[in-house]
Parts: sequence; C-alpha cells; structure tokens
Amino acid sequence: MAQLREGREQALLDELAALPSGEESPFRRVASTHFCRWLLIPALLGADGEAAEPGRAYLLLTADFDGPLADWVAAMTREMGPHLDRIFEHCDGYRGSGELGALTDFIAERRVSVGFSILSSRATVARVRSSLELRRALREFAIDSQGMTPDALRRAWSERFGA
Amino acid sequence: MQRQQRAQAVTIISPVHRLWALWLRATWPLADRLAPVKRPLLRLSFIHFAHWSLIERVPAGVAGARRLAHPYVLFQSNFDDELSAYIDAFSLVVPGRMRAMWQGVFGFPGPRPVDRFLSFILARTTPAQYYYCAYPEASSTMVEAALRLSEEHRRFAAEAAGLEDDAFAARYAEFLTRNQLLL
Repeated sequence: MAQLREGREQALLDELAALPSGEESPFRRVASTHFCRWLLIPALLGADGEAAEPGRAYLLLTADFDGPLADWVAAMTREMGPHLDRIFEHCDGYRGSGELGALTDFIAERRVSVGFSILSSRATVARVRSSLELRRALREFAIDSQGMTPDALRRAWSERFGA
Repeated sequence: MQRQQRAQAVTIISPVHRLWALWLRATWPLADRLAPVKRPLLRLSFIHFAHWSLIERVPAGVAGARRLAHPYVLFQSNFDDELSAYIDAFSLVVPGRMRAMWQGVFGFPGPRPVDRFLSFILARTTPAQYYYCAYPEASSTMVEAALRLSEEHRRFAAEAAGLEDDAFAARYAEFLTRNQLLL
C-alpha cells in the first residue's frame, strides 16, 4: 500500500482505466500471477467514519502469485515495466522500474504482511491451467468415445493423451 | 466489488481498536497454522483466496514509518458467486471466526443477523479500479476438481499403460465412474 502524491487521484484513475484487461492484460504475461487488483483508497476512515487523515490517499495493489516476491517483481518489470511506471509514478517514493533492486525495495517496503489466509489450493498458475485444460479434454473424450470398441478406445486414448 | 466472469474481488479496510490489533497480532500466527481453525473456512468452496492483514504504519514494511491514527484490518478475497452469499456463509457457517476477526472493528454489529452484517461489509467495501484473474472461466470448485482429476488421470495413465485393449476399456470405465463428479 503506497501513499499517493498530492492531487494525483484522477491521473491515477485515468492510468488504471487505460490498462488493458482480460486477455490483453499485461499481467497475463506475468505468468505466476493468479489474481491481482489495483484500487485507489481515497482516504482511510477513522472510528467516526470520517477521513482520518484528510488529503492523504493511497494506492493498494494486492496479488496472489507463485514463488518469491523478488521473482514476481522481476517478471513484472520485464513484462510490464512501462505500465508500472505510469501507475506508480503517482506514489511517494517511486523511482522507476529501470533498476530492479529499487523497484523490489519500493514494493517490499510497502508490502503489508498477511496475518491469516484461506487458500483453496497451493497449485501454481501453470498447474491450474493445465489441469483445467486436461479436465476439458477428458470430458470431451468421454463424450466422443461413447460406443467405441476396446481397440478403437485404446487407439483414440493414445492419440489424444499419448499413453 | 468487481465482477469478471466467475471470480470477483472484495476489499475491506476497517479501523480497529488498538487492543484488538494486539489480539490479532498475537493470535494470527497460531490460528494460521491450525487446521481445525481453517477447516470450516476451507469448506466454503467458493473462496479462491482470502487474506486478513493488519496495517499500523505507512509504509507498512519500514521500521519507524508513520504510525496511523488507528490500526486497520485489511480483508481481501477472490471468490465466486455473489458477495451477499459469501457474507451469508460467513454469518451462518463460521460466526465465531468472524467475531474473532472483526469484533474489535469500530461499528462491527456481529455476524448475526446477517442483513446487519452485510450492511456493515457493503459500507466498508472499496471498489477495485483494476482486476485480473489468470483463469477467469473457472470457479474455485472447478479448479479443485481439475487438480484432483489431474492426479487421478496421472494414476490411471500409469496403471493402464501395459494393459490389453479389453482390460484397458474396463479400467477406463472404472476411471470414468469413479471420477464422474470431477469431470
């Protein structure tokens, strides 16, 4: 969670709106990313529901990814450095994605440690995707192979799944 | 709250009494390792990921950084279905655990009745301006089924490799029957 530079809220929102999404998302190239979101926190609220620190806004980036932080940051730098620059430049203390160590420090220093988590699985993105693809293939095969003789079934299986 | 095909995101940042922050900081390390604490939450099969964190300083990872007026509990999750169903399940299935998380949050009404709890959550939800999911077509249940099926397939392929055609066909029929709910 990074504090925004004063008066940068709208410029940040414009950058986030311009970031390609879905199949075109630059995070698709950062292959270890399961989920990711960026959100603007206009103000942290106090106990009374009013802004606790008027004039201070924050950018929150949350992500679930495989492997260590440094590897994920390196992949982001490689695959979407200019996007990171256009977004993080609105934050205090950002020095650009040109120097990997500085970017890793920027993110690590602003990282909020997780206290308690629920994870549906610990599988990597690659394993989740390949398992989903295999499930789809097995389902199709189950339908297509109905009524096949044993030798035709065996041959079709070998052709489709290689064993 | 953002919706992108099956999975969606919710992010809640709430100020919390300082003593409650101490309680969370003291209990989370153990609770996060205890399977009996997590089991009922893991049974809520629509959750991909859910994380609770505590924010007391900004920047959070720098010793001596600026201390916030209150500590904040940050809850962020990726899940399937509707947020109201998610909160319903929290309220009905794991109310004790919800108290253990949010009891010290200013304005927390308790997990029941659920409509009051839902109003509390909705009032504190911060919308995401950008959301990405690596497998948007899949629900958490589909992911779990696919991972289990992948293991079953690996086992079947190894067992079936040396079988004659008739024995293969019989084993394949068993494989399908045993795993039909995963397909």
